[in-house]
Amino acid sequence: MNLPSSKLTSLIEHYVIWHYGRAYVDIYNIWMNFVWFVFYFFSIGVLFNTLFQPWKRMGEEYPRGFAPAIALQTFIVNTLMRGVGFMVRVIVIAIGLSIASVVFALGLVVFALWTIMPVFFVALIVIGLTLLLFG
Amino acid sequence: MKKKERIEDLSVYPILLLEDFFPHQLRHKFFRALFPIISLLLVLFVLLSFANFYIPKGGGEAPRILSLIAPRVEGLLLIFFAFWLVIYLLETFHRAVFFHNRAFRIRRSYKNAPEGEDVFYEMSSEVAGIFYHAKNGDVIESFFNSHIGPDVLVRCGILADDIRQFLKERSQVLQMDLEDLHRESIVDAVDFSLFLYKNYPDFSDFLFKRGIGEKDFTGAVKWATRVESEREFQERWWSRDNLKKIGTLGRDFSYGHTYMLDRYSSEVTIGGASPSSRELQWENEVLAVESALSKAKESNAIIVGDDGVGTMDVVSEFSYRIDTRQVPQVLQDKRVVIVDSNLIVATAKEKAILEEHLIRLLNEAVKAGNLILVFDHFTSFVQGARSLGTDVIDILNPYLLSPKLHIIVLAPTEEYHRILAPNGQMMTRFEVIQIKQPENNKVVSVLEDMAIVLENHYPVIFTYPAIVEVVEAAINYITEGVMPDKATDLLLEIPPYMGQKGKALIEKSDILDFIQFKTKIPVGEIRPEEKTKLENLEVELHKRIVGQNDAVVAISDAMRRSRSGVRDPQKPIGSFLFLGPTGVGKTETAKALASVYFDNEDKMSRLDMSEYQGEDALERLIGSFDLGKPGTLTMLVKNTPYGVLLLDEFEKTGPDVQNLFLQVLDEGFFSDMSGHRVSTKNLIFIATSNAGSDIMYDAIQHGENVHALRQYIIDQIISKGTLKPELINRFDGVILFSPLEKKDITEIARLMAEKLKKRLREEQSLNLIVNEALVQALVKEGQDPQFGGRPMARAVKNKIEKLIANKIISGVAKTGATVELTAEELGTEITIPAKKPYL
Repeated sequence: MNLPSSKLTSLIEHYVIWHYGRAYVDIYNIWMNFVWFVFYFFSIGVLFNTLFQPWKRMGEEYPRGFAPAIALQTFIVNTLMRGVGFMVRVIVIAIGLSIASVVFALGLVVFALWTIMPVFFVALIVIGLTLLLFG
Repeated sequence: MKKKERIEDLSVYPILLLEDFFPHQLRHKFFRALFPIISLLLVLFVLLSFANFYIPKGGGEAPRILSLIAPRVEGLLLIFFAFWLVIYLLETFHRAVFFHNRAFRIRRSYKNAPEGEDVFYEMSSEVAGIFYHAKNGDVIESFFNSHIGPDVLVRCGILADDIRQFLKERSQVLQMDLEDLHRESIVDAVDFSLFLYKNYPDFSDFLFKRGIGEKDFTGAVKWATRVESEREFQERWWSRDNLKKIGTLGRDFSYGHTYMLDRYSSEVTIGGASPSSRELQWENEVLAVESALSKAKESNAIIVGDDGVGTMDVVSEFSYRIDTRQVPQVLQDKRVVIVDSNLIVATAKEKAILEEHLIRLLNEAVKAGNLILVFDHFTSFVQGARSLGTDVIDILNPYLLSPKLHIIVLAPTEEYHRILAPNGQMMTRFEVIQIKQPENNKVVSVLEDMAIVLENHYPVIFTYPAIVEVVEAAINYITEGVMPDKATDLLLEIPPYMGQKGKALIEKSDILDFIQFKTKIPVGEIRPEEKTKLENLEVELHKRIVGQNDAVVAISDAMRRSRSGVRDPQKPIGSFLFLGPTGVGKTETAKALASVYFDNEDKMSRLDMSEYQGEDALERLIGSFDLGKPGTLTMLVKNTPYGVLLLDEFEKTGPDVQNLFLQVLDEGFFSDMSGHRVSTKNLIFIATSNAGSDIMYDAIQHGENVHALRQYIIDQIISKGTLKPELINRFDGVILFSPLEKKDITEIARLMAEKLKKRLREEQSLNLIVNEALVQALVKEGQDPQFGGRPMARAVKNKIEKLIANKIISGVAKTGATVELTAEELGTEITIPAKKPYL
């Protein structure tokens, strides 16, 4: 294929403008999608809002009339169920938040790597050739 | 309006450049090749590292070889990885530009922008590519070589060889520049393809010669581009819409367990159709369900529709929208479950258990707090429970009021009207959502999606005209079931059938072939023996019908029009009113048609219309809703959807029934008792009537030509109010059957005698000699000016059959004997010896 070198220059120019321009916006958007997804997947907002609700609506109804012993018993059971619910939610939230932080951190790494990508590429070639040729 | 004046200004220009230097096909090849190489080098590298670690340093050859190989493997690995990285980056660059262009076009579409707003003209990467790669501005060749062009043409059933031929033979080369694209507002591949079609006669002629009109071409273009954009959407797995599909964890922590319900229910599954076509198809219905269930109380819905019309699809789509959080706040986090009501009734077996289980299940659902219960075939549940003595509606009633539980019930139309609608109290608790049979374009879109799935399972490719034909064939030739179900069923049957024939490209004619194979209705290519039959239909019919040339020609023409496909597909094959006195061959003509063309006299169904004159006539014909009884006409049409329907003594029927036939003859269908359409498009209607016979007699007695009085007779029938003028006009032809003349009677006598001879030969192994004496005896006995040829059948029975029976009983006519009746015998005497049997 006989292509003028001006086209190649133009292509490289477009690439560089994209790599150090709009690509950052795209990466940022995708990154935010993933962070959003971790929050979405672990339902972190919903779990926070319902933190003290009983586990799976389990519990007992308070007795009608005056029955302090049964009422106390019901109170204990219901409190326990809320406790279970709280524990499970806290664990899920904790896992979710940890993964979200990992995703967040990975995003930063990707940003950094993206910035040094050309250098990284040159380094790979240079080191690779050195090893191949000179052992 | 700002235009991009040069190709370099277009946002997709970098893609075009990239394609010049490093086309995507090549990139993908490299990508695929590099993956195993890098994996292999990586494994080697790990192995060598281990070896280096374990093999003791010092003397020996091994460490030396290792120290030689290891760094080189590492070096190769790094170099290949660098190459892989470059390709990956270029691919990402390509996609980023592509999707950016797409999003830009959607957001600020050149075409959709509000008037007066400053818009930027942007064309899609496909169009830009076609234009950019056009050699000497020849956009048509470039279109054929583009990404989308071949897809479109395959969907039109046009293959690479045809295209090459076209490029060689075309009379002009269509050249376009960027200015033309701007002027014609060509933005995407759809615009471009349609522009080519409309402005390049060579191209549209080329398509036309292959049976592709503008509608088919547009459909094919839209299908191909829709598949492409669907694929692009799937590729963007990182988009929020795609990520959402993975689901969530923990949303149900705050909602209760449902032990009993889980025993009797299942989750909703999503069908194979793509989101865009599901949305297109069910948008209004799903919104209706959403609004019904969003109400503060009595938030329940009845979805009414017949099996196969898609009631459960609406539920699936609704559930999908909940899962992907596209519903109002009040419906978010809800769980849609389908209750297996048959299982509840079957497990319970008795009233008390049934009620206990049902109430427990409902209580659980209320307590859980996020449930939407779906009862499929709710009417069967109501009836099943009723047989155990339980009133399900009564039990459900308090729950229907509760805002904590939503209930959706599905019911077939007829049962809904019969069982649920009369219950006024229940109806106030529900919003009724009627599911109608979808419009054809929606069914086409569903079938397009299904076709893509089928193409992944079978080595076939559907053309767009084939898909459209499946929809039309389902409507016209499949009498059982409703749309879109009967169309999808039909589509599913086609790939295995094509597999047997060893054909991969499924075209319109293949669908018609399959219809012929399945329904025995001749719709495919006309085969030689059928061609002969059609060409000689008059001759064949005249072998059974004496005279009545008008009738024979009219029905022969109707059959030929129907078979060649030039008839109006929305009407019956043909409809004729035969007027004439009794016994002149009206019924015989209908029978002859069934026997000659449809190969079987059973293909003629008969309705004695004199039986349908009372008030209940219509009900008996189309069925009674209250009694749940199907009608005679409905049954006849369903049993013989393709054939002849004889309406005897048509003038004797009442006005209601005449009105029914107005629709049947005009629109090719009628609605039965439960509102189902019954197609009559594959029937030939023959209505007979002896109205006006008296005028014909008078005419004959005065030596006038009956046929000259045709209009007068029709006017008389109308003025007497026997038949409505609009009904007479609906018939394709009103044909006069003139009274029989002497020579006709003789001919009929001969035909009758031959028929008897044939019957005796087959059933009794007797050889009856048809002599002149026999024919004359029949003429003498069978002629009656009032009843035409009809008494002749009686004469055959009373006279000839009687004589032969006596011969058989007396032992004269044994098996294999030849029997000849003489003039003497046929006079008054009865016993005459027969000839000896042939040995």
